[in-house]
Amino acid sequence: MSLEPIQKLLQQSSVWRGKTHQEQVAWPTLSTGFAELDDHLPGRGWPQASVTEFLIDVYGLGELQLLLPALKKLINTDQADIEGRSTGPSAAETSKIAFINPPYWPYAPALEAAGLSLEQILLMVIDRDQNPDLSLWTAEQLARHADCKAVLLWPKQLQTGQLRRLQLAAEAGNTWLIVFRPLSAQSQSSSATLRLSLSVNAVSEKQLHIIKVRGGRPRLLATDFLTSGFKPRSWSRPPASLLTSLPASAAVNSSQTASL
Amino acid sequence: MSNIATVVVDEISNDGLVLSANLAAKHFGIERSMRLKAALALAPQLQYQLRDWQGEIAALETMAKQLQTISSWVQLRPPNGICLELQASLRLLGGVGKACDAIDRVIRSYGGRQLDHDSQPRRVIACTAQAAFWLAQSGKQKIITQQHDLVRQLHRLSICQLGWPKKTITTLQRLGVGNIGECLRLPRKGLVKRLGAQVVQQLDQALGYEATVIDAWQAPEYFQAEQSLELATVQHRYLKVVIEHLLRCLVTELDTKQQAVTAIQCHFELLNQRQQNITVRFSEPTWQYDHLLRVIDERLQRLKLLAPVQKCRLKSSRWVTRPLANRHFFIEQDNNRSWAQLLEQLQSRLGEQAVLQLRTVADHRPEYAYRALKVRERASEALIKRSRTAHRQLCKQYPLWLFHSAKATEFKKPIMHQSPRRIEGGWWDNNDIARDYFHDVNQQQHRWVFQDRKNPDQWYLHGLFG
Repeated sequence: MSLEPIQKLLQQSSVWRGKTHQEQVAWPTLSTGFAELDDHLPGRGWPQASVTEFLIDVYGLGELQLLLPALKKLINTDQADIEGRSTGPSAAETSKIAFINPPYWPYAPALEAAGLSLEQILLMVIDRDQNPDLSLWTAEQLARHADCKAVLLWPKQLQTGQLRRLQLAAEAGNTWLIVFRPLSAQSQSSSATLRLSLSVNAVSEKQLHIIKVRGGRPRLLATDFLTSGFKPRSWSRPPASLLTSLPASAAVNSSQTASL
Repeated sequence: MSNIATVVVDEISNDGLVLSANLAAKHFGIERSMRLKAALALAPQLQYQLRDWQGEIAALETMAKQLQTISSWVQLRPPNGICLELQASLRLLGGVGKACDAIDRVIRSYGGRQLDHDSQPRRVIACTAQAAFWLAQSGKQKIITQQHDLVRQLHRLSICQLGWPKKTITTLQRLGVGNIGECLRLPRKGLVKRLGAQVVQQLDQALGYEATVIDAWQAPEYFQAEQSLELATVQHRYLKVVIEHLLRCLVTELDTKQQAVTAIQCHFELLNQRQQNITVRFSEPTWQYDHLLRVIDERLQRLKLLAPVQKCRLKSSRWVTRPLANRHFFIEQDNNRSWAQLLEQLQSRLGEQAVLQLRTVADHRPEYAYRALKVRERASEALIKRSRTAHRQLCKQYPLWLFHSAKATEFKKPIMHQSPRRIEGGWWDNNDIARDYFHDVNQQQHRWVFQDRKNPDQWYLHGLFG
């Protein structure tokens, strides 16, 4: 009996293969720029054409710097056409990134020094006193457009159905949509392909918690990624949201203490 | 006729030349081609105006439109010439004399101000367009219908009045040539070699040895249509139906002529004799029905009507030719909207102040080192400069998030992550700052704080290292 049908089935990323996550996945990915973080993500990079949910309460932990290498690659990539030559005004010049209602001003000199071209960045400042769904409508319009490669959105509130709609828009427009929400949104169910949170734990260590990722398993990484890279950590007490979803064999190793 | 001496000059400076002077100025002895400082010396209270190019072209086009009633072949020769093909219209007009009367009537009806002799419009009828133009430029007003007559008139024409480049005129004058007749006696090959083929071609065209092609000028087209409503209403959905119909008419006409528009205006006449309108300008020529409807719809939803609408009128800007675009065979372009069209839609829905672009400014003070401009706003070049490479190296130490305004904080001393930086400057616009900036790390949060040197006890938080 040939093993081909089984091989084909296993190659599809809808089959969870337990401990290892796949290098080849069915959806497009973009390398994060940090090799150690790539090891922990299926497809070795940020999932594209989908929504990435970023849960963060305290800014200044390096959230933009985490995304910066990938964003730079998105707007600087020269996409060649099928013949291998780039046509007319290069795709690089028309790629755009949009910031919608950021909590603070993205500081232009720092962005330019980091390697992003200001002509390709769009800043939307929508009056919050107006209809709060306007920012979601804007994100959807931008995500559906082929020229917009990434949208960073700070919504006032977001319901599950609205998030699903953003996911569809990102898939239709092949856009990387990053939604920033407070940590309290972790308990809400979400259809995002990747859910991350960046926070500081009890021992003042920065930690990146991959809450949910399609084709992979949740991970907790202690990170000062600018200096020491990403180190996986197990936790002494799993977060409440995971207790129902993980199988019993993923229980905590009780010999490890909280002081990591 | 005003009694104030007025002149028109080509530039406002001492070396500006007087192009035209009114009668009051002529009394003081001011003539054409006089320098402005000489004219001011003759008449200290002289008023002078800069030449209005736009106005001149607009006037030329208006006159051309009126002359189109006499002949359908009209060619503009800016800055001040119009060429008409008369042969085909002579029979209709009833002869050359009647044609001249018709043209004079148009010329007199347009402008009616008392002009000095130099500024009077001149009319020349000749066998060739180039010859007529040269004769008119030289200040003559003639009717020439015979070839030998034309040749005789042209031979006497001085070369300085033909509008040839200075170099050509100097070369000919050095050869001892003063008018076209002497020019024609020179060998043809030598003329082509010394002066260029274009000069010789113009001579051939003037004498009728070579045919001239005149491109007919077409008046720019507009679109205007209106529709009255049976029942005056403020409801947007009924207005939308009317606007859809008018837009369909516009788009059909644009499609037949393959043209596009750059702006449209929707004008509403209300019940109590009042009026309201929506004006939309596009950054690029537009002809797509969907985009036009979408943008007008967004504006209509934000418009508060003061009274029920009785009549709706749609006007378009001047039509422009559609820009051609190459399409690919295999690569599908599933998004028909361009980026500019998307931005226009966002601006019309959210307001122009919501869609912004960032620019850097060469200023050391952090809060002045950037600008958030509306997308189509052009900043003055003096304000926005590219940061130099050295400045960019410094900027690598700047935080990615900046607060809208610095916040006073309550801590004593920062934990220094890097050595502090002193930023001073701004004495030129009374916003002088003298600050010491520190990169502080608190509970893993990297903050950009500063201490004002004028008030050392107070610390401020200005940014976060995202």
